[in-house]
Amino acid sequence: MTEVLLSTDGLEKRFGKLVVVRDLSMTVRAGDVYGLLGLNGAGKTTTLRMVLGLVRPTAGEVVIMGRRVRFGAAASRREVGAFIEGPAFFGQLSALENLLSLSRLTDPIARGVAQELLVEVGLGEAMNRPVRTFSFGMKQRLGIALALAPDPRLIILDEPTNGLDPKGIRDVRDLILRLNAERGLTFVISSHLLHEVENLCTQVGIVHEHTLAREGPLDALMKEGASELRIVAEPVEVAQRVIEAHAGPDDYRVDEGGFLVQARNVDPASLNRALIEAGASVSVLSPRRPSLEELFLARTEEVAS
Amino acid sequence: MSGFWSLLRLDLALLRRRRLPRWIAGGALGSVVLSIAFSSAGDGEGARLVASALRFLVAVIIGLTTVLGAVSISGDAASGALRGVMLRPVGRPAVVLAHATATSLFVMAIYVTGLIIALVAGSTLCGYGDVLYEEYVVIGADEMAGFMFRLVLLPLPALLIPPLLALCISTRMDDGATAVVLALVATVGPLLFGFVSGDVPEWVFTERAMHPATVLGKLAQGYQLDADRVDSVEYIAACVWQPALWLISFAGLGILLFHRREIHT
Repeated sequence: MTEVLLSTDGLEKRFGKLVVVRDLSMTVRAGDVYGLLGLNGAGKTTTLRMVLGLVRPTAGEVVIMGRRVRFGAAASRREVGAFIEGPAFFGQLSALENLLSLSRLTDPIARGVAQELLVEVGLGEAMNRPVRTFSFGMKQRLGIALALAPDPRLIILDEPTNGLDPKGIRDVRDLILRLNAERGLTFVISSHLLHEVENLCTQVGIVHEHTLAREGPLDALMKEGASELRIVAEPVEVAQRVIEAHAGPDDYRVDEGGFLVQARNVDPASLNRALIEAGASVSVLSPRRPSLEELFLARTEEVAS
Repeated sequence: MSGFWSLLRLDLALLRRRRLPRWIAGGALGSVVLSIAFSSAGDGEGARLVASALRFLVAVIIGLTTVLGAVSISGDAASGALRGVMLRPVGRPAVVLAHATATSLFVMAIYVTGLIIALVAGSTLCGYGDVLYEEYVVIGADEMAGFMFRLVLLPLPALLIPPLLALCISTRMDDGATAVVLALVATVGPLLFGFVSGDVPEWVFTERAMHPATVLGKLAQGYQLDADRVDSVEYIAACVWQPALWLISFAGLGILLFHRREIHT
């Protein structure tokens, strides 16, 4: 059984009568890249704040690497690297000074190691500039470098690709995947960018209406969604008549420049043959799985109803 | 107290790099220079020159370092830097004590530098003769060296009270501006009230908190004759220990308040 690095049990946070997080129980195992998904205001960041001891839970408990997290206690953060709700630095200090000073609060790292880390996140040329002159994306990169120093086992990143350009997003994604594969680091990533999570995570937790609506391996979640056939054929009227006859009027829709047909009751080969026999010219007939975004929206609508 | 020394090192580095501490140091030392430049002290009246310089210095230090204390934690909270620190395995008492220690060292450095400037100016521009009240010698020129030395020690604990009280307020604030207003109301407010009402506000922080500077000022003006009191060990101990107990109380209260604080910004 893989070691559980982080778990919450019945976590709850209220501000007066306002419930921000309700009965949230999640489990992150060693080696996971865990994506915490949710709409704005669902309670993701508050959950991570409670996990890191910044906010006191109203009820429930957080356990990190076997140690119960007490509000304000330092020990639970020793092997955790994190950034929450954007980067947090001292603007007067340079990137290198920030990295050296803040990592010293955990375990000092050598100047050379800090420099290598900054080069790795793409701040090699800017490492001696005051952070107040950085763009948001550069600060985001520095935040990731800080979370990686010095050598944590669990890294918690709240919206790590916010404010990054496309190259930055790809770099961060590659860095996370590489660190996970090469060093076995465990990540918890909160995000609303579903395609990023889809490309990155092995486990997913969906936070909806302040609680964890669903948790499990990404693969299993993706398999839950009904697969479809994407068909592009001309003339459209002929193709539509044939598809309706094969799939039924409720099991197809017009989308993505063609037809999306529920695959469960349709044999692709016979549908293709029928289209050709009816005189339609078929240019695309391919299986299509729903994206995580579609599954996420379906799941949240399901919970809401 | 995990992380205290690293936090102290960080806070001292930030004091050197931030603009506000530089302006405070410049303002305080500038006030000393200005008061020396416009002093009317004549030959042998070096003590009078020192006294007027220190009265300016003390007032400026109290006012400006109150602002510094008020924005120390609340400013970091507003900028999000406090979150960066609190994500590390540091104890909450260590955060407050490191800020308090760094602020105290900063105040001491400004005061001692200002005092040295005033003493050197008093010596070179006027020289130290006897301090007289009419024809009576209040302090002889030969005693002046020891008397001046005590000036370093006596006002310091009292001078640390306003910034630490402000720091205490700052531990509960996410907004630096509100913290500054509250801290100024709590520290400079009573002093201004005393100034307007003509009542020497020695009761503001402790009974004798402001005494050393006030006594020196009065001595220099020639109407305070209790030099023996200033000399006594009991008096010195009271000047140091009473404010010191207030300092410990403020530090303790700051730790208590910060311990319960949630970091939302």
